[in-house]
Amino acid sequence: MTQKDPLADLPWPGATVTPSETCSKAIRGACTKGLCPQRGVSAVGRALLTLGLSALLLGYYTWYAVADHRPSSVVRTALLGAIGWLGAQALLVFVALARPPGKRGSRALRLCILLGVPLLFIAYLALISTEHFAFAKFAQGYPAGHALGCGLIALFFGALIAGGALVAWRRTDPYNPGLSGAMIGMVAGLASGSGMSIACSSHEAFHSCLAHGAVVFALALAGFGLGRRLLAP
Amino acid sequence: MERYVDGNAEAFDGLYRKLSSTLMGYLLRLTRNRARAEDLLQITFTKMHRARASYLKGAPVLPWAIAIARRSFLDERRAAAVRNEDLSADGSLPEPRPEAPAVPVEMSDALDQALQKLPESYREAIELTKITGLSIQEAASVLGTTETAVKLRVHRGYNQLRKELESFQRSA
Repeated sequence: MTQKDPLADLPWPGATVTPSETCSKAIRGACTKGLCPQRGVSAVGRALLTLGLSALLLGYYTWYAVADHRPSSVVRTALLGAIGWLGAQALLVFVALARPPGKRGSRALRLCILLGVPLLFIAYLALISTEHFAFAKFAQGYPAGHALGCGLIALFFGALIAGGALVAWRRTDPYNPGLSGAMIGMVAGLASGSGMSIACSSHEAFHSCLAHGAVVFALALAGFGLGRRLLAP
Repeated sequence: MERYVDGNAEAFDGLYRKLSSTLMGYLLRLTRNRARAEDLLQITFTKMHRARASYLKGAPVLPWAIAIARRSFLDERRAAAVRNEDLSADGSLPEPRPEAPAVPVEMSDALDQALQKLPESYREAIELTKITGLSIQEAASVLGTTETAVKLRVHRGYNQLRKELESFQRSA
């Protein structure tokens, strides 16, 4: 037995109202003047471009690590981890961005991803660290300065990736551009943070978590603000 | 939409016929002012025109257009609040303050007033699902929230509407 809508018989206002002829004429004029094919890059193309930027950054960090004579075993381990995170980025980009807007998963799910993935990343960085200082030792002198420098470099390269990706996804999400922007920022942060693990000489836990991990949160936050401007049509 | 993206002007006419009256109705309910609604309709179509190259294949068109219209309305309202002014359609005189609503004599007037008394979030959820005809999932996308939240807002809105209409029926 189906339940009848108790307010179904009410005289609801009409859903449609015809715009005036002047308004229609103005819109037709503006939207059809010099109309030409304007086929943009497909969603898959944009996704591949985003991942390509991440892979490019990974390549640069690896080249830097090799050129700087980092121990090959350390580079190999960090590179494998970074490739694993590139896979995670691919999953995020294809599931949460490349599908048409409105079919990208619920807002709650995307918020969980935005909070959960960076925490997982920081946990991963803490796990692969080979040195553990007391916080008081880390917070003063050379370790703190080194962490600040690393954090700024990670932020800079991450911001480049995030900027490129935001431009690639421009005007694609009228529904929740802030969340999509945050997702792009997070992907860029993951690329930069995991890449820094390859190039950086420090493998201390606080250094890894704060200098390489916090960039994911920072870029997600920046992506949220910029996404609202750039991703909405 | 896809033929319009390919540069077909006739396809735009078809799209306009399909979307314009629904969008106009939606914007008129939001603004309650025909001139502002028509301005926003023009802004909405201009934005759709600019964003047509980034329209992702497979996205449902009506919720996409309604989301753009809603965002245009919110932007315009925010800008007006910052300017702290409310000008008439030609931009020269302050908009007269709306008169106090008359006591409704018909059910349709009572329903309209009851809808206006609802909190904005409840009203939007009811308008999108009940009047515009979007599905719960589409309305959730447009409002940037979850399907459960939309169902809850519609349910609470219905309860408030029922109370308002019962008091109208008693007084009538």
